[in-house]
Amino acid sequence: MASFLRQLGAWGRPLDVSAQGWRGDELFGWISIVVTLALVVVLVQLALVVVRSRRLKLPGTTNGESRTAQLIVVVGSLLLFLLVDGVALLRGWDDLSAGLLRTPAASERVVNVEVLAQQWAWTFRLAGDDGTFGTDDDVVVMHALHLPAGRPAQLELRSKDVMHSLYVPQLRLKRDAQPGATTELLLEPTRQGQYEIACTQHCGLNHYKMRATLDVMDSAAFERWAHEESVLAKQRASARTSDGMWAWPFGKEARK
Amino acid sequence: MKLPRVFSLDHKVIGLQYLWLGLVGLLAGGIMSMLIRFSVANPGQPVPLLGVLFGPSHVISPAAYTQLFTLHGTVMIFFAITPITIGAFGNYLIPLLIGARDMAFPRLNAASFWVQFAASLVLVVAAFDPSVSVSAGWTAYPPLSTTIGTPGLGLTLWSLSLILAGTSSILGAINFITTTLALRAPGMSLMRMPLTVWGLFLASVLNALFVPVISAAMMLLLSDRTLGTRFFIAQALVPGGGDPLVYLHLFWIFGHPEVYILILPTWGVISDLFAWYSGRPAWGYRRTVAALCAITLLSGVVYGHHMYTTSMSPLLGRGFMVLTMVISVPGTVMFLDWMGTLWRGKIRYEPAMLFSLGVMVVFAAGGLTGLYLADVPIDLYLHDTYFVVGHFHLTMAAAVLLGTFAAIYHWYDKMFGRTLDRTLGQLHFWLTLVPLVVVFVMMLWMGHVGLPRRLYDASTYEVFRPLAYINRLATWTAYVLGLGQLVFVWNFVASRFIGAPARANPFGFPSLEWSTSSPPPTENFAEEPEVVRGPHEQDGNGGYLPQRKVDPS
Repeated sequence: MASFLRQLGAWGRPLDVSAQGWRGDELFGWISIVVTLALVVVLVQLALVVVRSRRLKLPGTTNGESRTAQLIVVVGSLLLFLLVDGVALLRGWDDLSAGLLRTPAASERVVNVEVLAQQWAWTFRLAGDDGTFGTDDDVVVMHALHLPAGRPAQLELRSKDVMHSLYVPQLRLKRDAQPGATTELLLEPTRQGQYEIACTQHCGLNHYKMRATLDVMDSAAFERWAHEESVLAKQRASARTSDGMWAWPFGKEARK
Repeated sequence: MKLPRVFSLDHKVIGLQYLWLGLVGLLAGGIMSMLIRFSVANPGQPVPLLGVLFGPSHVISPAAYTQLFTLHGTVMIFFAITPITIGAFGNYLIPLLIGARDMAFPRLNAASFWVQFAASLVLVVAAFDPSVSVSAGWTAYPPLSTTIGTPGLGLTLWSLSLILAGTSSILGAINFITTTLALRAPGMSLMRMPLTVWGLFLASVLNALFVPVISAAMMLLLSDRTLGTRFFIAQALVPGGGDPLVYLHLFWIFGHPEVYILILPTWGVISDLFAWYSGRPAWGYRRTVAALCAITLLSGVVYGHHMYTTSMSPLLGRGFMVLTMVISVPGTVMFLDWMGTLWRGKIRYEPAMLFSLGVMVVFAAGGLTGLYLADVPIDLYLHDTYFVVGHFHLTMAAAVLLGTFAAIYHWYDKMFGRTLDRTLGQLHFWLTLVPLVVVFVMMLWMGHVGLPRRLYDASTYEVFRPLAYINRLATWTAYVLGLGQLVFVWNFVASRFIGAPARANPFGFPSLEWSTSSPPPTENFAEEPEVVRGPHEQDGNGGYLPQRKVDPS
């Protein structure tokens, strides 16, 4: 029994571990209720049609163009739109401004990350101790994104070859990486642990292997790790390192 | 010089040629879907029965898998649904239902079929090109679809094939629009046209407006692949390059109206069939026409909802979110009108009616799931997952497939002069509807868990491994769906030879095509019909008054 329940749990949505994921989940739940209701109404009506049809001697003669019918259909459709789509729209609009597309304040100690996508790997770059991208102390990691729990991370994505899309199911978000453009994604993981990053834009034969790990760490542990890596990077830097650097000035203003 | 019959200019012959071409495409696309389902459930395992297609190992490789899902989408949309719903039904039905002797431009009509035929041949060559390069997805996003991502002759021929198919659609659309506007029989006002004709007419309007856009995109892509231009190859890669986002805009400006192009004929057909098989007037006929027109207009301004996750401005995303939801208003009007037609209807459960009711069920489910995807906050999670696959298969694929069957069951007598077996038709309905709904609802479920589409082997990701069980179940359900279609194949083919001869009007239908013989003679009507009323006027005894003026003699 217990294992059966575990199995059922594994068939559900993975646990949301982000500060903003609840927005989409809540909206999803609300729409699901409406959708279920609507489907039940449609099916019940169809069942009634079938039952009533048997008892009828002759089909009804109304043509649906009387003033009452016009009113019912048009006003009914508008009301349904306002009640269902309207609420979904307002909620969605608000979710975007307040959460998904918000600009975090400096006081939130935002972690900036540059992400380079290519067939078929992800590379993540932190600015290092000096806080500037494109310098010798940048922390560059392949296949793994390290982030502190409870702090926002501002990602900027680019692609080296074709289109890719960075996706973390547990954070309920994805954003395309596109050659010739820089896209942005705000991640706000709240819970420590290891999660999977998937590419969701078909990018060639090994698209299905384009996996990376998201390692959400305790904030202090993250700082320690980032500092150690940054020192190490600086020690190992040489005059020739910068040749192969793909970093870009971070932030909309800087890129102009 | 007399041309052989295969080059006939008769709209009925061309319509049936389109039907056969489309049914072959449907069969091919269907077999591909079975292979895709096999591969998804058993990646890297040898394929039974059809393994020989995949070389000595009989295994679907990642390359073959990407080619399969690319071809499945391409074939189903451009070489199955389009030739059947628009090519076959449009050609066969428009002149008959409006009382014309033929299309306005019979030669253009034949040209449009043969260009489509050429497009099919080019696609077959592309599919068997040893480079296995028809693999960028039916959406073919650059730069993956340029030679940077996918070199090879296959994909180049693929884009050429789509240019040809587009040309065929544009020629057909011009013909359909002109025929509907100019060749209606005396008395056949626009508001007396069966809703089938309205659906086909509006689909043609969208075809004429938006197919040129994808043709342009394909020409630019072809040029990038063959002439060394860089329209869609970005600056970051090649100095002086273009922008892949431009392709996405072009593709979806066409791509979203396209789903309405595919579904509008079905909506028209079932709006009529609901009335004709329940003895009712089409409830709110004028309102339904207005709703169909409103959807046609709105369909051009919602395409951005395919691009929420791209570098498109988030502000635009919000705009498209609003516009997308607005389209649900005319959608609801149309749906309520169907319900009004059925309400107090005396229903005859012929296969055509069952399939129409099936459209209503899957379309309700599919349309309502669009509500999730229109919302940016939810779409950022669900985009490119199986939720999207389930959603568009329910609305577009399942609804159109059922609508296509409804139309075939309804007009088979007229087309072939023989009768389909009714019991086999009903069996076919249940063997189609049930697995269709189950398979796509399972996809919705897996998508809501987050499973991305187009993965060769989902077990790469630990988080999706538990879904393997549902995935296998979906595959077995798909096999049932596939096998169920054999009933239809038998019924369709065998009835041509052993079916009872069809009468001119077996069920007392009122529209013009039933006032002539089955199948109709060349030029359709012995004398030009005069139309005196709309397509669903009741006679007070449970039947209908014919649209055509009947001689008192």
